[in-house]
Amino acid sequence: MKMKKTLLFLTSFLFLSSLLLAQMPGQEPMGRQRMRENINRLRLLRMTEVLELTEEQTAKIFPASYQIEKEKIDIIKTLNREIRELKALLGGANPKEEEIAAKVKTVKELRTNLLEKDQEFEILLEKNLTEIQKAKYVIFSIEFYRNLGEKLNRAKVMSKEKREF
Amino acid sequence: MICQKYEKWISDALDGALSERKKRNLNSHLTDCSDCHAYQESLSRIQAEALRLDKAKVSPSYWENFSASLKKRLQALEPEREAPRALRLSWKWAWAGAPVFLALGISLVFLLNRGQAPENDIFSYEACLSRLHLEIGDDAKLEDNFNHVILGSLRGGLDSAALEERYLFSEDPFFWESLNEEELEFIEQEIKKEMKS
Repeated sequence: MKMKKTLLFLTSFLFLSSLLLAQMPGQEPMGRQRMRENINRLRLLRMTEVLELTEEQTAKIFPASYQIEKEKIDIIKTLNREIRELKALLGGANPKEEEIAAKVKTVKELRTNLLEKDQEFEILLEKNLTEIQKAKYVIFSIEFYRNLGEKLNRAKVMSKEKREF
Repeated sequence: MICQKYEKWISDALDGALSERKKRNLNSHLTDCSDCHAYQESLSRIQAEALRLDKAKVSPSYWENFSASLKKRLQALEPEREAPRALRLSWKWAWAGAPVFLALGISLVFLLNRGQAPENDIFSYEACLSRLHLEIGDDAKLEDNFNHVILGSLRGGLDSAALEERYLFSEDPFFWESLNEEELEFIEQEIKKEMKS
């Protein structure tokens, strides 16, 4: 009963968060960003089922996860812009080494920031999960990532079939 | 260093204790090295002179004493003589073993690194997404199809949860507590729009 309630809570939370994101000016969830958001939603949904998260846990974990993802998207946007600028610098007639070095440093820092956000979520889980749930999360992560790979393979087959058709 | 080796061989050759192969090697060296050639000639001369000497008349008891004292001296010298030999041997082994140790070291570093990388990869969400992005690349069609597959799974999960029980999330205090100002404002606007229509 509690599990069902939690899942429904998640359903409504994900639905509302996606609506909200869609409404934000200048932040249209397109392409890769939309894919990231959907993967994160699926991750939270499966995590709730597998880890049997309680309502209290979901109330702490979901909003934080959503916030972390939003911050990650901002980092990725900046990272992409910096990489584009780095490419432009390298492609220029007289690339200045100091400028390139500074850009490389920024790119590396952003990459670290992105990984730190991942770590932030892990710490959040560490604080809010029971020992059994932590163990389940380890197994869940491996299986979820593998499952994503399988989904990508399915998508590849779909693309191939469409091309052949 | 090379001549030292040949000097020993010259002595062995005069005693008749040198193999045919070494003898050939020594002879070719003697044609090139005047020092060794001179050494060989002087040794040959000494040996020839020694053979011409009359044998000394010595009693058997003298030889017994001589053997005993020689043995004693050799035993006393043994550790000193053995040490450099052991050292030489250990250096030989060290040179022979160096490539093996190097190969083992490289393998160990490789194995340790190989052991760490997948572990980091397996547990990192961002690394997993990066892998997916890399595989998808610029293929918009594949990205779209992948997104469809993800949405399918997402919809399946959400539908099954919704079908199991009709539940009013709005009645759940945790739901409202988890929303921030922005989200609450959005819901309020949507409700107002609904009420107007």
